[in-house]
Amino acid sequence: MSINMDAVWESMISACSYLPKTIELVLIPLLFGIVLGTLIALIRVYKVPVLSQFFSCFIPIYQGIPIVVALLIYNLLYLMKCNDVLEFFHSSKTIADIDNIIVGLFALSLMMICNISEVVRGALLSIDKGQVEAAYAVGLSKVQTIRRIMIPQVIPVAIPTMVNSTIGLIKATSIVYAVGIAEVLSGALVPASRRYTFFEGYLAAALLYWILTIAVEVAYRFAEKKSGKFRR
Amino acid sequence: MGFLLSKIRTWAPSLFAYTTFVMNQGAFLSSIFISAIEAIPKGQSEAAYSVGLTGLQGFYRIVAPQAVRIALPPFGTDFIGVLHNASLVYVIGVVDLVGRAKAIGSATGHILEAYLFVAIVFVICSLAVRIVFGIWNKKLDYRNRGEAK
Repeated sequence: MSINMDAVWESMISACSYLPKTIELVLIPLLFGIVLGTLIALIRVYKVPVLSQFFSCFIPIYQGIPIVVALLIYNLLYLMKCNDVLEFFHSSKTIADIDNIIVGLFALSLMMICNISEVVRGALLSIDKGQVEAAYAVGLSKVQTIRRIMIPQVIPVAIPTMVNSTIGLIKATSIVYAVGIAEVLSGALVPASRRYTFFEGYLAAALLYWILTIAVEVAYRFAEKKSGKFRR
Repeated sequence: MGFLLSKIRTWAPSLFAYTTFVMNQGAFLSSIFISAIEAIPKGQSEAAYSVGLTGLQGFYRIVAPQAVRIALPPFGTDFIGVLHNASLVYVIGVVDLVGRAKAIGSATGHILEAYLFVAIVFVICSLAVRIVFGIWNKKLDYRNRGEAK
C-alpha cells in the first residue's frame, strides 16, 4: 500500500475550498457560545430565581446527548417541519432555498452554549469573594462590578479550558458530515470518490484539521499573554 | 501485501473502532495523568526517598494516591466524552445503539422516536457516570474527610 502524494495534494486543494464553511461552523457557534454561555453562567452564579434552576437542570441533561444524536434529530426535524414553519410565517421560500448548514450551526451552537457556560461558571466561582465585596465597598454597582472586576479576571482563568472547548468544536464540525453538510471532510472526499483514493482523502482532511487546531492553540496562547498582563 | 489487505477486509469493523478508541484515549489519558503526576510537589517523593522507600515504592505509596485524586475529575469528563464518541462508530458500519435505532427507525417509519429514545438512553448513562464519579471523588477527598465528621 503506497500513498499517492498527488491524490493527497488534490484532496487538500479541494478541502481548502470548503474551508470557509468549516470556519463559519466554528466561529458562529463560538460567538453564540461566548455571549449566551457567559450570560447563563452569570445567571447561575447570581442565582436569578426560576432561570437559574431551569439552566442547572437543562445543561447537565443537554450535555448528556452526543452531538451526533442531536444532529440526527435536528436534521430530521428540519426535513420534516421546515416547510410547515416557513408556511406559518407566510414565506414564499421552501426547504430547497435554505442551506442545511443551519442544522449544523444550530446543533453546534447549543453544544457550545452549554460547554462555555460551564467553563465560565467554573472561572467565575474561582474568583475570590473579597474582590466582589471590595467592589461594592468602593461603590460600584452590580453591572459595573461584573464588567470591570469580574470579567477581566475571568478571561485569563477561562482561556486554557476554552482552548480545549474550541478544539473540541473544530473536531465536532467534522461530524456534521454525517447529515450531509458540505465542509472540509466532505470536500476532501470529492476527488477521493472520483479517483477511489479514500485513504489519501482522509489523510488530507486529517492534516488540514491538525493545522487548524495548531493555529487555534497559537492564537489562544497569544490571547492568554495579552489578557493576563495584570498578573505579575 | 495484497494478501494481507484481502485478509484485513474480512476483519470485523468493530476491531477498527476499538483500535481507534484505544489510540485516541491513550493520547488523551496520558496527558491527563502526566499533568496529575507533575502536580504533586517534588518534596513528596524526596521525603519518601529520605525515609528509605525505593523509587517504585515512593511512586506507588506516596505519589500515585495523590495523583489519582487530581486526575479523577478530568478523567470523568473524558469518560463521558468516550461514551459520546462511541455513538460515532455507526459511520463505519458497526451496529451500536445509534446504528440499531437507525435500522429500526427506517424499518418501522418512526425514526424520530428511535433517535429520541437513543438520546434519553445517553442522557441517563452520562448522568449515571457523573453521579458515580461525584461519589468516587468525595470518597477520595482525604483532605476534608476529618472535618466532615
